[in-house]
Amino acid sequence: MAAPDPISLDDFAAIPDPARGLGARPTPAAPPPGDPSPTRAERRRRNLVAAGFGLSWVVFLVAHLGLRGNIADAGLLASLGLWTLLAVGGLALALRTDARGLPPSLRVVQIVLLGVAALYVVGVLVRDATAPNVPIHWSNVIGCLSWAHLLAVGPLLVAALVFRRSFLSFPAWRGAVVGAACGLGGAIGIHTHCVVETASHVLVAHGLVIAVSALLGAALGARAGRL
Amino acid sequence: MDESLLNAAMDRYACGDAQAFAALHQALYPRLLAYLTRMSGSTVLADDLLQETFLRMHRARATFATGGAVIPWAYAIARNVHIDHARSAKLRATERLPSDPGSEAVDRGGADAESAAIAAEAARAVERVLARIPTSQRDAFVLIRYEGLSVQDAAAILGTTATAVKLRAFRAYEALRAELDELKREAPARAGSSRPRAEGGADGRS
Repeated sequence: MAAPDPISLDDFAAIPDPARGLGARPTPAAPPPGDPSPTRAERRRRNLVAAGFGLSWVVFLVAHLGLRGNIADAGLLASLGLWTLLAVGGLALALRTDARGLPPSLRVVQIVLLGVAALYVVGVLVRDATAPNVPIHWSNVIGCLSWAHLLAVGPLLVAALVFRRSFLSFPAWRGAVVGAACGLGGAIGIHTHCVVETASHVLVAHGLVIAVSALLGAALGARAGRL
Repeated sequence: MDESLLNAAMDRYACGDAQAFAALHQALYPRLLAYLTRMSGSTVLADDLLQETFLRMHRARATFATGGAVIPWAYAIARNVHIDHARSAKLRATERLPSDPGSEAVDRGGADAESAAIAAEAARAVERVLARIPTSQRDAFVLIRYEGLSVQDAAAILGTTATAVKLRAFRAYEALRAELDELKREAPARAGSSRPRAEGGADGRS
């Protein structure tokens, strides 16, 4: 048998309402505000254009860099597929709404953010087990690091425009998830070009962009994301 | 207005039907005004914040989820407007304006002067406690007790779990209950100490 709930909300009625007289005030008539405001259909179109631009940005830069020789390797494709799923799934989980149209709790968003980072690291470590060891050095990190950030910055800027004034609560955390997903796009992009699979190289040169983008996303969310 | 009709009106508004705004404004205006007054402690400020709330609802109408509930959505936006105002005014989160709607808002119809005074005093005590307790507790209590929202909706508005919201609201309730009990204990003592003085004054004048 379930224990009775020690917190009874029925007792709250005993607390008087200091503002109960406000209900008697007449409601003035008001026309809709004149400011421009997109409708649902317009927003959907705008989101599609933004997603297309973000994807094109990554594809264009990867095409410019060139694909790595062993791109058709099954293990590599599995890793890339897992990370793509992580980015899309993480975004979907953190931005979905419940049956009442309200966003998930902060705890869910935090778990998604940590989950994305943790699963990326696990994927890198699994690939590292079979990879030749390449010692980490500034000269082989700087190129990948720069390109990964350049790959991520396009989708991140587009996301900043799309998600401007659209988070009902905890805009910094939700912005961090969006940023992490964009960063993961950058990490995936550079991984399709660079052949080094050593964990230290991949985590620093390819993966650091996820953390940086998450921080940028959090800052942008806190500044302009709140609805 | 029935909640499902209100949700349908918001759906139409999100799709571009400007006529639906009137129904939304009519239904949400008194609720949001009362909420913002409770949160800010001032009807004048609440009026300004309410205009901003409707403006943000208008700008963000496309983000309203199809089939969603407009009441908690609107409360969440009103809460954001209040938070932004508090931050921009560099007010501490628990600080409120000095005006006191409670003393004016108490319904005195049919009550004698003493019970009206007690009710006004209780309302002021509630205001004082609401101003003193942490914002998270005040938010939870106001949404559940005064705005009549479900624990689930309040949790979604505050971005936390239903258990956390219940706990916060209950802590606010305990603080309010303690203050009101204290007031009750003090009332007979005050009445006792003031009565002989009043009687003495009357005797002195006669």
